[in-house]
Amino acid sequence: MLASEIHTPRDLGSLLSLMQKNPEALILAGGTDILREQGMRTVNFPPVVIAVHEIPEMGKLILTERFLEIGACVTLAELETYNPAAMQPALISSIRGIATLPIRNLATIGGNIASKLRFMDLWPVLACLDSLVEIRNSSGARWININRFSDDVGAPSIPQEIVLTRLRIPLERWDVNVVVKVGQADYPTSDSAVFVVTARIGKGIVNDFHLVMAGEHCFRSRELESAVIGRKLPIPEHEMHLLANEYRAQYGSSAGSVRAGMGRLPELAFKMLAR
Amino acid sequence: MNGKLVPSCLVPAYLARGAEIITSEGLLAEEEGKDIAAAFADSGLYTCGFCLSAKLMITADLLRREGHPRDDVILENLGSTNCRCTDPESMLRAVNRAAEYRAQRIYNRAGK
Repeated sequence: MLASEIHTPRDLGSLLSLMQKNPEALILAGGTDILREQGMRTVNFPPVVIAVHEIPEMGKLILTERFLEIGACVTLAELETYNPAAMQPALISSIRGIATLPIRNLATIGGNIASKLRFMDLWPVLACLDSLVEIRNSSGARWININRFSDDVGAPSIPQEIVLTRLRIPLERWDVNVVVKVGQADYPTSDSAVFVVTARIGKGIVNDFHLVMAGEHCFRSRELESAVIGRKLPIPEHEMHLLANEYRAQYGSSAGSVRAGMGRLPELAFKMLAR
Repeated sequence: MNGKLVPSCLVPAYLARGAEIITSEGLLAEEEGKDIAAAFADSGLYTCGFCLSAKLMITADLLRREGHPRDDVILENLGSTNCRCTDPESMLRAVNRAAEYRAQRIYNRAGK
């Protein structure tokens, strides 16, 4: 079935008005995730599609003193080549591992984090960096922490009938930035996931520590992160194994992809702290 | 599309509306494309025919961005096409030759 109506609003007001009149509309920017999901010879769009790629506010990159603000329609290729001093190393590393350059020229950061079926590669990085996302509907706009895009069991959970318009990534630097992709290299499967660690070290002590894992489900434990904070480096081997086993015990009860393939990645994270 | 290399199979029609589109045929009509095609031929590169358009477009895009890319960068960019009709060494020879032809063309033009 072909889309019967494709709307291309040129400002946020028109977009929100269209969304209110068509609550079941599909919002598309680059469309790479939607098209990737289509397995048939003809594309199957719902009756109403709203293409947001021509809204100026959603295509901007703004650098302030405290954060980098990114419009949801900024492509991954644009981000990859943006001011390196402003980009978090973990984010650049993750972007470069996504697909190929031609696809990154189409794919948008908003589309990457708005996927409903699984967490794509940038979500765990942005969650580790405690990024904020602006969501809008006809009632107004608000900023929420991207970590709230998951439900109680770690599945993707994006509020209904909203549109992601902008992201804010704090500029504070991290001393340790580790991004590891597990699973099939060229196509996300149920065993694919991304494992991200960021940490701040001061005088040989872990001052801050974030660890996020995400694939079809996500896992993050503030309690376990707190258990690492304050430890002196290097963390003794036996303590490393105890912490890693704590992680495995907790995420072992979560679904599929986060558990599969993680292996000894938690130990890797703790070893990286000492480098 | 609008100066960026994109996979046409993933471009929905709504995205192409109002955009500047250059195809491989359009590229080959220009000096830039003719240089690349000549470099491929002069290097003895033979392709299956299905992937040639993609390889030409990728080479043109890469040389515009990086006049003399390193071999690992060339192979990474050509990894966008998965066709195995050509071996990596032959592709490297062809792209490096295309880079030389491009540099010569730019030098000649500057000298005029």
